[in-house]
Amino acid sequence: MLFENHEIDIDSLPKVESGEFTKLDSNYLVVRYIGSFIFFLIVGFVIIGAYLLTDISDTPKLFWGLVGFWILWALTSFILTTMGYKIRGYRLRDKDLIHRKGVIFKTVTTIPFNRVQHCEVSQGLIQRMFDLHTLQIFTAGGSNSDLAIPGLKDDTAQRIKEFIINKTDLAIENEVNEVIEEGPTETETLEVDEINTTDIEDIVEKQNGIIDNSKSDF
Amino acid sequence: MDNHPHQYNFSTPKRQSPIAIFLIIQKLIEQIVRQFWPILLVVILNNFDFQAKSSTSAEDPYLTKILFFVGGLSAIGSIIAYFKFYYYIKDDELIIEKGLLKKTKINIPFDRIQTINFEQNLIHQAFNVVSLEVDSAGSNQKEISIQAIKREQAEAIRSFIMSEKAKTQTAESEEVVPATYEEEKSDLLMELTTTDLLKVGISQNHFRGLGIIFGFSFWIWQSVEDFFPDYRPGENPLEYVEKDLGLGTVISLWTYLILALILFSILISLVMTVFQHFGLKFSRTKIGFKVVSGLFTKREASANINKIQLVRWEDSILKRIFGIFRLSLFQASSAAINTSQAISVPGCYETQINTVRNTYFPDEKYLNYTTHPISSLVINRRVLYLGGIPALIILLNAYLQSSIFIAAGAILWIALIFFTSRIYHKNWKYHLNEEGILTENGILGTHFTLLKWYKIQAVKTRQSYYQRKNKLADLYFYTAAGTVRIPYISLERAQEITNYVLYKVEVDRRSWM
Repeated sequence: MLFENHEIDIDSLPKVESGEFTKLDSNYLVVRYIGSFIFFLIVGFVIIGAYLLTDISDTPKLFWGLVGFWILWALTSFILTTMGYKIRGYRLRDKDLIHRKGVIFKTVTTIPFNRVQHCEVSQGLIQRMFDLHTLQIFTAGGSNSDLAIPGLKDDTAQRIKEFIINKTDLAIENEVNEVIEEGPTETETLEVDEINTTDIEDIVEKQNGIIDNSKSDF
Repeated sequence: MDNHPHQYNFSTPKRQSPIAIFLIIQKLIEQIVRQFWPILLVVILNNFDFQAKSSTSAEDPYLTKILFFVGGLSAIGSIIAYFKFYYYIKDDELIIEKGLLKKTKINIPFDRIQTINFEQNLIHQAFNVVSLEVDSAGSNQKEISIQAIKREQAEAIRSFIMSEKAKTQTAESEEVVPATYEEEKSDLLMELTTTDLLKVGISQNHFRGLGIIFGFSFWIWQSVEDFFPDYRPGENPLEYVEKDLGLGTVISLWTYLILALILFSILISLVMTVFQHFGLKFSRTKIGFKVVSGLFTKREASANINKIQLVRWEDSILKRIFGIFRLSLFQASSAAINTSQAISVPGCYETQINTVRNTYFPDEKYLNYTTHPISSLVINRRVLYLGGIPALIILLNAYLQSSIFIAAGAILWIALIFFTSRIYHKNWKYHLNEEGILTENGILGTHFTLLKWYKIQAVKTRQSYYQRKNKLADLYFYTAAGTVRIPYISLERAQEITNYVLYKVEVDRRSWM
């Protein structure tokens, strides 16, 4: 086996911390406000319903405490949403995607494309009104390491998804397969067909989420 | 005896061994007991109640009838299930057909089969049959098992499938894989002897045993209450004993009680250890590692070397005296990609740990580790959260009860947290090299985690407000079988490591599984 061991200058490596994060679409903040508004409206209705239907009105202290809590909660949520929007963003690099979020706990998560299992583009009801999409990226690292980037305008989510899919290990393997297929084309068509079908089966199987485990390290 | 593997004709549909009927019934009873035990308890108590409470006795025959009806029905169901269950091999696929009303046919292609494990409980052992568990690589397919087949037959099926699988693999890749699958050819790394078993049992975490005792004594207490006629409900039981038996007796009673508790929890751990790990054999196979153990239920678990993502080993004060470790191999599960499977081996000595390290990370011994501590600010935070908040609650309690003793307890608690946090900080170390990381932490015992960079799926830094102010961060490495977290390192260092790890992962062409 060929042995390679280049000296790596740590400072020359691409840096996660440098560079600007792409912000989410400004309409996303509106989406979040609308979502919160609806939520707190429902909570408000519940409180009003409780006032009218139960005998909570007999204990005004409890009722006003509830109202106070409701206002405080809504206010906190408003502040956190606004601050969260300013922090939240992503950076698309050649080989990975970096996502930053969180007001109280700020997290920066990076997923290398060659570890991506699959991607999904979804759209909520409110997001649809503003033509915004959410891009979800899944790895084998469990739900804590999966990414969801909301507030992507038009076909941005779809384009990023395609970009990532083309960079996964699977896509690179397929490229290799295509190169192999080109070889025998000139000699015998029958054999090529056979190779093609097995390859396609392989690819279909792999895309169904089955991981090829045949490679051995030793 | 002719031991030729092809003496079995796998292509004709076969039923399981008739023992399976018992096993199905046994499983059903287990399930029923687990789900309906309160009802069962009522039935049993009603039948054997000496005082014959008149209020509930009217319902009693009714419930008992239901019980017998359900029991009979499940017995018939089990027999039908047995006769409707077939397995066979066709076109490089293991096929299982089952079901009376809802017919199910499950096809498992050989190349999707990861491992085939055998399991034996007491009934299995008595009739020399095994339960065959097939671990397949389908992302949402459940694990498939054949309840009971003869041991020789199970072995024949396994070696047949594995050799066929190996053949297709050699056809696909250039690697030299032997055409026949030699499962039995494995090096025994260790075997738990009786003394080892004793060591493992004694050095076990005894809190589990203590928990069982407490649960048990609570139950006893409730039934024993009747034997102390002048005991008033709500009265402090200790006061009751004190006034009844005198203070001197109480003190010696306490000593005996504590001694008995300690002895009992050790005994429970010992018994559980013997049940679980009796006759444990840990061996190195061609494709990875294998562990066989158990007294009544023989368990066989294997880990494919490629699937192992993390290696952990830990000692405790007691374990250190004996020089033993508990080793865990965390592997990515193929059945469901985000639930991890770990196989663990208690009572490992350093030599076995080194063998595993050597297999998982062959280059480790040629690489130089650099050792790094974590920030000492972690002590402040631990004292604040783990010490301060409970102490505040205790202080509030002390104020309400105006008790100086309780207040002293709060101070003691903070002091305890402060000292353990200092040890926590002192013991937390991480060692880096070009290909991987070794972390080391723990207050009483030491936990070691070994991870190779290319097994990482995602990297995350996380900062609380306090950490942001002090330019610190927690660093997370996510793998397909668990997460490695380094708390409280400088943000700059965290970013440096992140950049390097990403570079290593993105450049590496090896498959992580």
